[in-house]
Amino acid sequence: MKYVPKPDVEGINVSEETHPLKDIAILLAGFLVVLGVLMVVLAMAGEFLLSKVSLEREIQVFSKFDWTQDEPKNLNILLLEEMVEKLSPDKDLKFKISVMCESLPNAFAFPGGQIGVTSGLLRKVKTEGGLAFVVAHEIGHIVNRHHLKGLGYQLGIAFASAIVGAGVSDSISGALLGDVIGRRYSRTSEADADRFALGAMTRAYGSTAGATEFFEVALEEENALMQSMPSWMSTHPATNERLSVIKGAQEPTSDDLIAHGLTAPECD
Amino acid sequence: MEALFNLGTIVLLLIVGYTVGRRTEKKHFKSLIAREAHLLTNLPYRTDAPKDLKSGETFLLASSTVVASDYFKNFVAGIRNFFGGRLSSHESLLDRARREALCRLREKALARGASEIVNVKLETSFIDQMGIEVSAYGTAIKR
Repeated sequence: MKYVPKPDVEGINVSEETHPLKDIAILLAGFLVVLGVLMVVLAMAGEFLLSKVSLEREIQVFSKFDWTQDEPKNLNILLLEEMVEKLSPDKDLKFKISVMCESLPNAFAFPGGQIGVTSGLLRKVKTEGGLAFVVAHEIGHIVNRHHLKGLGYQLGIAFASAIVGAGVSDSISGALLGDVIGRRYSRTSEADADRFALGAMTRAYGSTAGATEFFEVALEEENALMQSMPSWMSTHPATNERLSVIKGAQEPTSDDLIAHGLTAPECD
Repeated sequence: MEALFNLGTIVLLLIVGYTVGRRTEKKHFKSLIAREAHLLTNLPYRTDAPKDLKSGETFLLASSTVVASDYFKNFVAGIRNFFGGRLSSHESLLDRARREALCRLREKALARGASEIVNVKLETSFIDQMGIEVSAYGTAIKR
């Protein structure tokens, strides 16, 4: 018999049982759930493991490091060191403090129990209470191992992303998820450090007068710039929130720092 | 903030990939069906080599097609790779590529005046992450 060619049947090699958009919605949902769970588990594990490193050990490991460069010339560092000693929660815990030449008011907690403040901060804050609050806040971070927890968290997130594998889309959704969760988390740490700072000031000075000074200044600047980020995006709780937490402070009657010998630092 | 911007870019690319890709595919399938209908009786093909090739002139012909998938397809494939299963986004892609290669082969044969093409084989190769090439070759017979 002769061969009679017949046209192919359509749709044999191509199967569209579910619409591609529905398909990808289901896939993406499933994928994000798996990624989210993995991230949470690994981030918690990372945090837990790193927070087990004791402060003494950390100070030992980082004792050779010096985090500050560019120190101002005319500084009376003894006053700051006294302040740190007063605010430290334990006689045996030795924190170091140093000043950096930087016009933006800021304070840092470095690994190894070292605290840094900027020359801009010393210029901006006028009362001893205000400065003590900032320093105690940083000590609070160190004592509560927040920086190590943060590092453990980041490592956990990175590990989870690596396990799941690197498609460009995957790593970006991963970064976004990790970012949002991380910011909410860092807000809790900041609030905890604030609370620690109040406690430390009460223990050292007997009052929390002047603690609100820094935030009142910051609030002015914030309103001036009209920078209001939605609170789930920011790393610190909104300045208003922080103020309301420490509003228990009395009216500032602290003596002027200048009178105590901490003159404005000279940086070029 | 930056992460949001990245996400927005991806969503935009996905939308573009989806809409443009889907339209291109529909057009391509339509064109394929039309050409195949024309070639069906004018230039039949077979994948085996017949035992008797007594009459006519024979010559080798080859054709190739290169296809790339769009952003949307790649995205779906990336996640599908995670869970496993049928990759329907790329099924249509390869179906088009094969049929296109065969159509081109037969059109070439028709242009050379052949009456049929036998012993047709298909080959696939990867173009370095960018796409897939399907080539078809066979023996054309001019009776």
